[in-house]
Amino acid sequence: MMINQYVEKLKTLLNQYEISNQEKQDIIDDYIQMIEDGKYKGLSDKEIINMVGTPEKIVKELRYEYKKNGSEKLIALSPFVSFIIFMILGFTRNLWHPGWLIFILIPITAIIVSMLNEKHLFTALSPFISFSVFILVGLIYDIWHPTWLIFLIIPMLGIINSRDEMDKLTLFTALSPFISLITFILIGYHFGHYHLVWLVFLIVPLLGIGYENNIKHKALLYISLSISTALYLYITLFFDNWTIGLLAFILFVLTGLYTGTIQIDFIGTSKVDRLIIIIPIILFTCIGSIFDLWAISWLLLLIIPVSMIIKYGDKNHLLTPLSPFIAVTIFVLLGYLYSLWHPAWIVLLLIPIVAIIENA
Amino acid sequence: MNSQFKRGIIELCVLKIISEQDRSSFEVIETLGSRIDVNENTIYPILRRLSKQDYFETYTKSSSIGAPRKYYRITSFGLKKLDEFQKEWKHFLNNVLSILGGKDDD
Repeated sequence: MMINQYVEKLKTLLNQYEISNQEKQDIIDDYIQMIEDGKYKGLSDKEIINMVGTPEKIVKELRYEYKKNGSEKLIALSPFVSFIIFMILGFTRNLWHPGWLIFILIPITAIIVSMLNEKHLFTALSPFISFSVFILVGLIYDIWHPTWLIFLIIPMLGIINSRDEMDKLTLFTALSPFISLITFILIGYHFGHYHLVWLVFLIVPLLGIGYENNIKHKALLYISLSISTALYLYITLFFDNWTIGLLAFILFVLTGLYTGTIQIDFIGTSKVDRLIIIIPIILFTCIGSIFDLWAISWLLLLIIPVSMIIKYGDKNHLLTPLSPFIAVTIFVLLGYLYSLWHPAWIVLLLIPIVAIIENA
Repeated sequence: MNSQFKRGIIELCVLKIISEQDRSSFEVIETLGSRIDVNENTIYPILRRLSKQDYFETYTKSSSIGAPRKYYRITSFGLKKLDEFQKEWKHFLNNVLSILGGKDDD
C-alpha cells in the first residue's frame, strides 16, 4: 500500500520534468528496490521514507538534473502574451494605465514555472501580488491607506514558510506583531480610538510570556500585565489622559526586567536575523507614516527576504532568487520617482533572463 | 555548512564507499548515513549523476528479496577521479588544519 502511494506520487512529480519514460521508470524501479530493501531490514515505513526521502524531496534534488516540461516556452511566451494584452487593453479600453500592471505576469510566470512545488514560491510571488493589489485598490477605490497593509504579507509569508522549524507558539509569536498591526490599523481606520485599539499589541507580550518556564515568573508577568492594562484603561477612560495612562505599563516592564523574561524570543533565530526583520519593519512604518510614502517605503520590507536569501541561500545560485526583488525595486523606483511605469516594466524581464542565464 | 561544499564531500564519500565494494543504492545510503551526518535524500541523485558521468557502471544480481537488485561498481575512470579528488581534498584539509593550528601531516 505504502509503495503504491509513494510510487504514484513520485510518478506524478517526475511527469513535470523532461525525462524520458525509460529513465523515469529506472528512477521509480530504483526507489521500489530501496523501499523493499528497507522493509527487508525491518525498517518501518516512516524510517524508510526518512532514509530515501519523500517524493517531493527526491524531485527537489533531481531538479538540478532535469528541466521542467515546457518551462522555457512558457517563460519565453509571457512577454509577448503580456504585450498583446497590454495593447488590447490600451487600444480598446484606453487602459494604458493601470494596464501596464499586466507586465507583472512576466516575472510571475517565471517564478511560478521555476519554483513550482517549492516552499518559497509564495514568498517570491508576494511582492508582485501585494504591489498589484495595492496599485489596483489605490487607483480604483482611492484607498491607499490602509491598503498598504497588504505589503505585510511579504514578511508574514516568509515566517509562515519557516513554520516547519517552529512550534505553534513560536509561529504565532512571530506573526503576532503583524496581526496586531493589521488589527490596529483596520479597527483604528474605521472606528478611531487608536488610544484603546493599540492594546491589541499586548498580544505580543502575552504570547511571549508563554515561553517563560518558571511558573512563578509567568504568573507575575500575567498579573502585572493585567494590572497595568486595567490601570491604563482606568486612567484613559476616566481621566481622558492616555499618555499618563501609559505610565501604568512601567509596572509590567519592571516585572519583566525583574524576571528577566521581558525579551520576546521573536522567531527563534539569531540576534542578527531578528534585527534584519525588525529594522525594515520599523523603517517601513516610520517612513510610511511620517512622509506618507507607503507606495515606496514597502520596498524596505524586501530587505528581509533578500537578507535571508543572501545569508542562507545557495551561494552559487543567488542571482535567480534575488532577481525578482532587485527588478521590482528598480521598477517601482523608476515608476514612482520618474513616472516611468510604462517603460519600466522592461526591467522585469531581468527575472527570466537571469534565471535562464544562471541555470543554463 | 555550505550545501554545495557538503554535496562535494558526499560525492567523494560515495565514490570511496563504492570503490571498496559494489553496493546497491540502499546500501550506499545506509553506510553513509551511519557514518556521517548527511541528508540521505541527496545520495541517490548523486549516485545517478555520477553514473551518468561514467564514474560508476551498474549491473543487476538476483536476490532472495524479490526482483534482481541493481548494484553500482566503480569504473576505471571513477577510480582515477577518486584518486584526484582524494589528493585535492587532503591538500585542502591540510591547509585548513594548518590555519586552524592542527596540521595533519599524514
